Amino acid sequence: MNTEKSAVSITFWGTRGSISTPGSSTEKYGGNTPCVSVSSGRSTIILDAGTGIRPLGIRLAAQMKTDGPFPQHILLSHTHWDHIQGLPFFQPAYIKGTDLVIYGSSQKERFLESILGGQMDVNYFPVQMKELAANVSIREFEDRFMRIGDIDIDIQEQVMHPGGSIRFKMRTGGKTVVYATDIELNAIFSPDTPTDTTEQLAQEYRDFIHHADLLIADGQYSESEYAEKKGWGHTSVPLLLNVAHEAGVKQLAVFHHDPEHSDAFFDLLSRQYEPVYRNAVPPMHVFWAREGITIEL
Amino acid sequence: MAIMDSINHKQKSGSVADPALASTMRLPLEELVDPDAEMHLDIRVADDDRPQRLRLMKRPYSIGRKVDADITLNQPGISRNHARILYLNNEEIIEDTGSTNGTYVNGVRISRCVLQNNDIIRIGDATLLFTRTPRK
Repeated sequence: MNTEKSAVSITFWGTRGSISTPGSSTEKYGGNTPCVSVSSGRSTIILDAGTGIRPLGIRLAAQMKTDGPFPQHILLSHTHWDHIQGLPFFQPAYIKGTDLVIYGSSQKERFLESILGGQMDVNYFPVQMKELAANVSIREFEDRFMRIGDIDIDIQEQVMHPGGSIRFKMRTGGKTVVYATDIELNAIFSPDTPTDTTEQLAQEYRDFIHHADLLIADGQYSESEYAEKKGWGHTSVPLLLNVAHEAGVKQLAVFHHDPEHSDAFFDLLSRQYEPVYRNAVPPMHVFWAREGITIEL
Repeated sequence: MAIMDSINHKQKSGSVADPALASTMRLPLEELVDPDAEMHLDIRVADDDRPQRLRLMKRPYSIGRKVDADITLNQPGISRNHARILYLNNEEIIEDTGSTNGTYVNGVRISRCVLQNNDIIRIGDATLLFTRTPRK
């Protein structure tokens, strides 16, 4: 494990689930689909390549103009559209000399390279994957653990999302950040019929997020919405908060916002739940992830 | 084959004829961005103080306890160089500049944050309400 004590910074570039949602009612929490960067020292990894990766790419390309190309590591939770659609618009992919490594699950029926190349087929996009100027390398996770620069990463497959997804636990600078989106925790922690399998899945999730300094987690639905969207692969807010608090999470970023939810709705949820957990024992800081914000641990 | 050709022809001509489907359709950006919007900070250094309004002029502002800061907040819990506000790409951004006690936006401790209308910044015991007012 990395024991160096350097600050860890996390930036939210896209927080919306399912489909990008521009407009005046979503400008505060953002309309771009998932993309989060985690940096420690000189190491940065990018989690998911939703449309939020476009502004990140613009920032990185500007930096490369002065510093020259530097490697980019993108870890994909899965390949649903909202998590890969920004990839063709990631500017460093068009900069010669950039080593661009994209990682994803090895548990799919098709190779990751084929899936990502498919969305850049000439019928969908004018530039094909093989035409990108960067040195693109597409890798499927071979082991449960890997290290990128100063960041140790624990990789675990998730079920209870159509097609599956992956959660990541990053340890660096003495801090732990967990990114666990696109999972229906209600089906694990509050199933209609509990089984040994659901209990095992629940324990694995608890262990994975245990005492995380920051958990970025799927909380797409309100409680009433979830009742109508069982089996859609996403979690209700109250259940997420309970599970996170019981696991001793210190800070929770509710993530993968529903496209139908407005800024006013998130403000309302925040006012409803934040004080409850601030005053709980132990306290847990809860906030709704917002595009354009960087926090430091 | 003839039927297939006919279908292909229909699909292709349909996508060109319908302006709503044209990929080059212009977006009404002028309605989304108001370059003339006025931006303010309403600065309150204690709960019972009347806030002082500062109009932001699309330039950097330093915030801290030191007397030559652009926004001097001589209060306990505020570092000499505490934070700064930047104007980049039509966005107002607040950055913590290594303060001891942190910079908060709507209760979240941030190191950097793109500001949105009605964001409440907290620095020590001071609160700074950010507002963007359309001039149109």
